[in-house]
Amino acid sequence: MRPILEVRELSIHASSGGQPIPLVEKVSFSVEKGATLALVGESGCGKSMTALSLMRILPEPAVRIVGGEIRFEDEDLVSASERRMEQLRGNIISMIFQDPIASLNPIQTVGDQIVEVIRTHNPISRKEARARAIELLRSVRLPDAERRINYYPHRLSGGMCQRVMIAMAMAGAPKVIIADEPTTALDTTVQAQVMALLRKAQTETGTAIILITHNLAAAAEAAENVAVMYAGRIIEQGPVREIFLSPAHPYTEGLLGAIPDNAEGGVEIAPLAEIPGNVPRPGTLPSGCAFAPRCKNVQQRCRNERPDLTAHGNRRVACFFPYSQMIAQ
Amino acid sequence: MIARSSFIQRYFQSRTGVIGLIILTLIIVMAIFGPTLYPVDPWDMVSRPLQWPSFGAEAPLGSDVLGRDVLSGLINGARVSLIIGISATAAAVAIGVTVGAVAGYFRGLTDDALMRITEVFQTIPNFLFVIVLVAVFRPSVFTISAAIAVVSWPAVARLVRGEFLSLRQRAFVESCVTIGMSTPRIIFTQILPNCIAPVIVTSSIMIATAILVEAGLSFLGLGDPNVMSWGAMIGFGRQSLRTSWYLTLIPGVAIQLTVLSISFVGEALNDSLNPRL
Amino acid sequence: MTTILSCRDLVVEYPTADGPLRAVDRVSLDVERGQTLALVGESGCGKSTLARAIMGLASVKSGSIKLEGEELTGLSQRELRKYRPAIQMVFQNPYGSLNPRLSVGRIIEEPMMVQNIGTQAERRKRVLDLLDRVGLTSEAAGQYPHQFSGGQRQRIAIARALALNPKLIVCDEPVSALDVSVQAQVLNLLVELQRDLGVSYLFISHDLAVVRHIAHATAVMYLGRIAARSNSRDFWKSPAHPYVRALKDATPSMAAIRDGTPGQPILEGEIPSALNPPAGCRFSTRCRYVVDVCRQTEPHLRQVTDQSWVACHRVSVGANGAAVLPESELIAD
Repeated sequence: MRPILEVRELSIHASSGGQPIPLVEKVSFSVEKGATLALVGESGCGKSMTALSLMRILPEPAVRIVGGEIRFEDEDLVSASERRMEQLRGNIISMIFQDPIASLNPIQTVGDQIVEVIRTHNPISRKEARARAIELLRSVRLPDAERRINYYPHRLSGGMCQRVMIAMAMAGAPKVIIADEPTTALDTTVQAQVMALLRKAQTETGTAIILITHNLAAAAEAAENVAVMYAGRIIEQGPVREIFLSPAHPYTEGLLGAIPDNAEGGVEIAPLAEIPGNVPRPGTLPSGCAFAPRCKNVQQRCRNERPDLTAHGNRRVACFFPYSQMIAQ
Repeated sequence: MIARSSFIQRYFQSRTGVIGLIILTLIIVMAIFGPTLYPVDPWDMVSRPLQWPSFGAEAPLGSDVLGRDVLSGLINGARVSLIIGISATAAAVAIGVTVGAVAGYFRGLTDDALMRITEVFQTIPNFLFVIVLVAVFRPSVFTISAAIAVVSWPAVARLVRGEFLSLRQRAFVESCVTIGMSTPRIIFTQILPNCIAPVIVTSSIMIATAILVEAGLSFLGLGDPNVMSWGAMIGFGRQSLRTSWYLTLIPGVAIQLTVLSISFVGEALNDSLNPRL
Repeated sequence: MTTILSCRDLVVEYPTADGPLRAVDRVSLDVERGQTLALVGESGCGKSTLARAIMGLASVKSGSIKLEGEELTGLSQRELRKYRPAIQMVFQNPYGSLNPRLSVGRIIEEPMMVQNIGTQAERRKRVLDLLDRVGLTSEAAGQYPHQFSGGQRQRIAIARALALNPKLIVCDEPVSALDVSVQAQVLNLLVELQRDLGVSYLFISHDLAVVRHIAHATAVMYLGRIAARSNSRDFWKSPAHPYVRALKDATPSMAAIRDGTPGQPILEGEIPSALNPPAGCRFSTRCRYVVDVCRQTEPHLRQVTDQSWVACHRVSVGANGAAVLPESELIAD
């Protein structure tokens, strides 16, 4: 199937003072209709900047796209006009943020905010828009939608606000939803509800979802494909099951090993696999492979040269010495 | 980690901060050494009245209606303005920090009581209150400074209270409670040092305001009659504003430059004390 | 086994504009020497308030907190001082828990200064030992918190907590602000310190994966009450309490792709307000197993197997000795 959204060699730089600092370097991925792609990584890996760039809402001019393409259907969003982006944003491409309470305007009722989104993109009366808003809030299972539509955001819980955000994201006819850590700020039981809601919206409308998350288990449950980012680059991408069951990149392997997973129980507490050192900060990367200083399999070549993302079967890996026996399986 | 550059380095990155600092230093040097280097009494009649400024004359910056030397007035006025500005601010900061710290740390009834008192002071129109105080207690450098301090401390108190309210809930302060640190020690070693930066910034603005208030008082004839101040000079020049406007302009520019340089310094301090990286 | 900390029927209330909020309601728990008791729950369940009450940062309305048999409730801050060294705390946010204006050496030395322990030279030496102990170099002593990453700061916070040789460290979400790869380092450090120093932890977390890894015993809180507790490391394998089970099912897990576990039914609704908790069982408004008695009578924590206790009317002991819920009577979804 032809992807609905395809990102090719996208690079994003921040310029503070003189030297541009690369935040995202030559990132490529694509997502098909009705599918979910997870972009996973730790803080500062560039996943959130990538998400913002897809909507063209980077904090310009300090941070901007310096190269690459974002193909949506037949257009390139990198070169699209601001006017065109306004037509797409919140309508054809929607975004859900991490902090739902902060994402809503505190001095407007949630109903007014949804009505505004609907009327921005559809020439319908306030009354019709309001009826549609109630319908949307019902579809995201906001209890007592008719009454709560008149509430200000502070009267709703975090979970309810996230439902409102999802309703708003669904207000147009989104072909792509970008969900940036949509459940991180929510309670465990509410997280599951919100993820189920996104899945439901996806099956009903066939929208594609790009899920940005630091939680590998959440990515494993929600996505078919995954791209693992480290220090601004994708270091491994492909089918989520394949990659998480048999990681080829030492970083992916390390991340998976670092997740506490007491499947065995037992009285003794076994140490977790550690990745030594700290997550690198943008602008302070070594010249070779960015993961080399923390990698247990590091060779001289890794310190001198930066590995490109190369195809290995169904997946792509940026490592000179991947766990190839695993790929072979 | 990006190493945080030192406070001084960050200060000198601000162009206006550097300009402000240079002007302010010149004014301070003038206030300290001026009277020794240019020993002319600002009250003495040194030339004919209303002489325009010219090089080589007895009064290089001209003379006023009574033939007094404008340059000497300017130099001596700098002293008065700075002394009043600094002493009024120092007193206001002392009162404000104490009230704000106690209110913010202990909260509850103590806070309510202190804040009601603060509000009373804040709701009285500042300048009128200063005029009343100065008129009642006779104008002198001391009473003027005290009166300005009395009307300015509430701003500091509110600021410090706000900082205390938020800082005392921070984990590092609670962590000090859990190691058994006493309350005064927490206030002085943990919280106060962390709210010095905004207080310094506010103080710089308060010095500028105090100088303006003193100028206003002197202009109205409520200044200390024994010292020459910039406001008084503007007041003296008022009648001959049309013909000898330099009498108003010169001290006016002096006030302007001082206040401006202090706010430049304040702004640069704000940026360098609160780095947002 | 000896008990380090023991809470009985602890009640903690907060004044709010709408009246007192009972954040912790008749909670009893024990922390054993050299072991980790995990306190799990979602926001508003009272787990952090309980930790603050134990640390003397929140005032206790009734009930008792005993540290090795000595009663701590009712003591003034001054009287509490001599018990302080025995219980220390590591806070959630490593960016807020270290005074930004003090050097790391001073931050770690401070507890010893306050408690008048040793000469300056002795304290300085101990600071270096502690830095080494938590995996930092001695240069760190002269640096400031902002020069360190989140994980390193949490190591500094742990070194400070260790300075007084505590018997118990209350860890309030100590790794939830950290990246996954760094989280593993800090968890390993905590386990290692426990093994070497015999320190006990009261480990507060909302993250089941972390809790399952580190805890010897677990207590799950819901709306100020303990819903279930267990002394077994296998507690999470087949939890009996409906809420605990829902919490487990709601947590994303790699098991989904590993063994293709089918999706579990999702718990509906949200946590009710603690200002106005439901009558009877507090979980009755969301429970799939609810019957009339649940809405009328509050269940008490009772022992169901030799290692586990639940507060649920519906749990019974099955033929094999395990705690079970009446699956057949399940209300249709």
